[in-house]
Amino acid sequence: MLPLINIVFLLLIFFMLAGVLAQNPPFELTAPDTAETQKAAQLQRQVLAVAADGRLAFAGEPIERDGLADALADWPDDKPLQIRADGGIKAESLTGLFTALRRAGISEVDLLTRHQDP
Amino acid sequence: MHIETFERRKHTISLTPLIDVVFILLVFFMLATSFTDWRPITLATGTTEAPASETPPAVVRVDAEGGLNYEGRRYDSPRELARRLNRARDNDEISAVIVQPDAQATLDVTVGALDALSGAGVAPMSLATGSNGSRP
Repeated sequence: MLPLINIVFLLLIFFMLAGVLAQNPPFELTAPDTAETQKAAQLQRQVLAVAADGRLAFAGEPIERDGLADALADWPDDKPLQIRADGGIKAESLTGLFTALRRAGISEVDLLTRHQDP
Repeated sequence: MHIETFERRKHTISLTPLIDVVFILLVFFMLATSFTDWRPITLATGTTEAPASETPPAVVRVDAEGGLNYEGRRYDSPRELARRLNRARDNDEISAVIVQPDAQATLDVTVGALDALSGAGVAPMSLATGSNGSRP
């Protein structure tokens, strides 16, 4: 009995430390894949998610585009905002989103991509 | 004087409830954690003030089908374009490479082009988000 409990404890500690608690947006999205981008990132707790149809969610809560400025009011200047965007969104809607973000005071964003080994 | 001595009773803590709780925690963390390997592409939302340089940057247009257009020619393979861009950079004809997606190009296609070019050794490279008004 005791070895089993030891192993279960080890597994518990492993999952607590090794993973990041996923904060899933309230819609399905598939981020674009990259194979060559080397820089790695830890997923932050507050991520802006963009669905294929343009819906937005910030930190897991759906928000409207007009509410971006309020949600990001106390975002620090030197920290890039992480964006999890669906791979199917068009460049023109991304441009529109960037314009809205600039009005909300965000100058730099990190577009998150999923690493796939080639 | 009478001193009372308590006899210590030995309690044996039952392990079963503890194991139950630990199992529940284990299952929670197994389901809630994500191990996705995220790679960020850092982009500026607005106009970036690039230092004025003698040599102009090369603008690579990405169309909706994923084709790369540079100086009026369409390249299907990013390797071929990367060779040309690297040669031009080595000859100091271009200073940097700007990837500009068409309005109808999807993010998958755009990021794929960025990734393929950077994998072929093209640097420095940036993505034109169009908000700086440089759309042709």
